[in-house]
Amino acid sequence: MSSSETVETISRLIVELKPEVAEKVKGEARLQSEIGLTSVEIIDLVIAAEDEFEIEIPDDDTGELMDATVMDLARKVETLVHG
Amino acid sequence: MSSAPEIPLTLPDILARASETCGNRGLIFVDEDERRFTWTEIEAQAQRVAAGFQNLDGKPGDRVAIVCQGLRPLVTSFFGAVLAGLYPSILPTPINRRRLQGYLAHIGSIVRVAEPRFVVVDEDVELVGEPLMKEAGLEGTACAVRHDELIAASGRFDPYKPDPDEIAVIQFTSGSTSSPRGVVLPHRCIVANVQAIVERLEVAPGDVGGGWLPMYHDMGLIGNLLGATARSIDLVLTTPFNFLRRPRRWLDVMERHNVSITAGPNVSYRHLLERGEPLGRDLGSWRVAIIGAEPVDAELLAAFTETFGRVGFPRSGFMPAYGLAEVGLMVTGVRAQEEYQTVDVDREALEGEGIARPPSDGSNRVRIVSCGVPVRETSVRIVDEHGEQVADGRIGEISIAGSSVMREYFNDSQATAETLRDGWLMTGDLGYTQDEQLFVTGRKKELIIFDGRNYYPQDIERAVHGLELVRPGSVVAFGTSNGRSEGVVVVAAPRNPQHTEGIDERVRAVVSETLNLPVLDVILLESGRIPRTTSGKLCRGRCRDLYEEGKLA
Repeated sequence: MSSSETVETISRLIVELKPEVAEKVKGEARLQSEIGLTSVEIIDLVIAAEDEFEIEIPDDDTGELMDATVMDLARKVETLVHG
Repeated sequence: MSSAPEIPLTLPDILARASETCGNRGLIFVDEDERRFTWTEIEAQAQRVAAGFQNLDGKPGDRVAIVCQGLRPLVTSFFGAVLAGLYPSILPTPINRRRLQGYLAHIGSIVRVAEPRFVVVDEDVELVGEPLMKEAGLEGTACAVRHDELIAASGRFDPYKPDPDEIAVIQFTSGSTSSPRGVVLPHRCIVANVQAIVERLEVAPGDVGGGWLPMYHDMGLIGNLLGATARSIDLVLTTPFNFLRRPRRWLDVMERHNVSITAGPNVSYRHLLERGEPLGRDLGSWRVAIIGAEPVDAELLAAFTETFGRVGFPRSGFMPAYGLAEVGLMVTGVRAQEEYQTVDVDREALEGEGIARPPSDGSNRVRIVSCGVPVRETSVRIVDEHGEQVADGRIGEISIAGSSVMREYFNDSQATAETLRDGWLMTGDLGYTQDEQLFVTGRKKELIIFDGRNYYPQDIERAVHGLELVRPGSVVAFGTSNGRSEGVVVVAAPRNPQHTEGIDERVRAVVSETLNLPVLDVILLESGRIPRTTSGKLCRGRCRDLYEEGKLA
C-alpha cells in the first residue's frame, strides 16, 4: 500500500468518527490542535486503524500520537504493516 | 488498635475503619498485577508515606501536589498526606512525555495557585517534578520528592487527628487555564458527601466497584476511591488511558471480578457500547452505572440498556446523577433500583421562554433525563437572575445548600464571593425541578469545555485580539455543541473590511498555539454586525444562538 493510500484510509476513518471535521482533514493537519479531535477520539481512531489494518499499535506510540499529524499516524501504520 | 467512632467524621477515621473491617478486601490494580492491596495494607503504607512527610518536616496545613502515574503510589501518597494533616491535591500526569510544553503551562498554573510544600511524583513521571515547580515559580520553597523516597525517608509515624472542620483536600476543578480554582473541602464536608453517595447507591459489603476515571477528577477520587473506602469494598481500578485503549479488556475485567458499580460520563459508556463488544459476556453482577458530569444523553441510555441488557445489565442499572466538585461530588441521583426517567418537552418553550412544558402536537421536542432527587442533607433550589426561587418547571440557575458544600476556593476570595451567596452555592448550571426531581438543561456560565478541559471565552478572545488584522474589541468566542462533542467558534471583525485574506488561518493558529485548542469555525463580520447588548457589550449567547440557527454570516 502506498503512503497516499494509507493517508486516504486514515482520513476516511477520521471522517467516519467525526463528520463535522471533514473539511479540515489533510495529511499535514494535526489531529488535536488543528483537526479538533479530542484525546478520546484520537484513541478511538487508533483502535479503528488497528482494526482496519489488522495491526497493533503499542501504547507508548499511542501517547505520542496524541497531537501527531495524519501523516505521522500513516507512517506509524506503515512501519507496522510492513514491519 | 484504637476503635474508630461510630460515625466517622474525618478521612483518617474512614480509612481506619476500612482497615479494621475489610477482611481481605481492597484495591485491585488491573494494569499492575491484579493482586489485592487490602485496605489494611493501604493504611499501613499510607502511614509510612505520612511518616516520610513528617521526616521531611512536613507540617499540618502544608499543601501537597500529587503527580503519579501509578495508582498504587498515587493512592498511598494521597492517604499519606491526609494522615499527616497535609492538604493533598491530585493533578493530571502528561499524556505525551515528549511534548510537555502545554502540560507544564496548564498544570503549572494550578501548582502556582496551590503553592505546595511538596510535589510528589513517581518513577514514570519523575521528569515533570522540577519543571512544574519552575513553571509555578516555586523553586526554593517547594520540593519535588519521589514516592519511594518518601517511604525510604520514613521513621516513626506520629498520628495526626484532624478536627472535622479542618481542610481534608483541595480539589482543583478542571478550571480555566488562566485561573484554576481549588475547591476547599473540610473533612466534615467530604465525609458527608461520601456517606450520602454510598447511601444513595445502597452499597453493600458484597459490591465491587470498577473504576476507570482519573483520580484528579471528583468522580474518580470521591466517588470511586473514597466511596469504596467508606464501605471497605473491593475496587477494581484501571487508568483512563487503558480503559479507552482496551475497552474489551475492561469488560473482561468486569466479568472476572463481578464488578457491580461503575461511574462515568456519557463518553465512557458510549465507548463501551461502540467498542466493547459486549455480546456473549456475562455482566449480570453489574447493578449500578452512575452517569453524570454533563447533561445525560437519553439516546445513549436507551441504546446501552438495550444492548447490555442482553448480557445482564438491569433496566434499573443507570443512575443519572448531577454533581460538582464544589460539593465533593454528588447533589442528586436517581435512587438505586429505580429506573431512570426521561421527559419530552417543547423545544421552543424551553429555549425561548425557559419553561419545560409538554410538546404541542407535531412541535419540535427535546428529551431530557431526570437526574433524580437530592441526596441526604442536601437541598436544591432553582433561582432567577435576581436570586429569587422560581416555580417547578421554570428554568433557572441551580443552587445548592447542605452539609457538603465547600468552604471556599483556595486563596480566591473574589471567586468565593461570586459563588457562595447566603449559604447557597451558585453552580452556573441551568435546570428546572419537577416534584423534587432535577432536570439539567445547560450551562449559564459561558464556559467552553473541550477534551475535559475548561476554557473561558475571554482567554480565547484575548489571544485573537493580539492579531493585527483583527479589530480590537470586536472578537467573540463561544462553544457550540452537536450533542456529541463541543467545538469553538470565533467571530471577529477585520480591521480593514477589504483585508480578510488569511485571517481565518491566523485565528486558528493563534488559538491553537496559545491554548492548544482547535477552532471549529471562524466567522468574519463587520464590527457593527456582531450582536451586542444595548450597552454595547458583546453578546456571546446571542452569537451562539444565531450561529446554531445558521443565521450568523
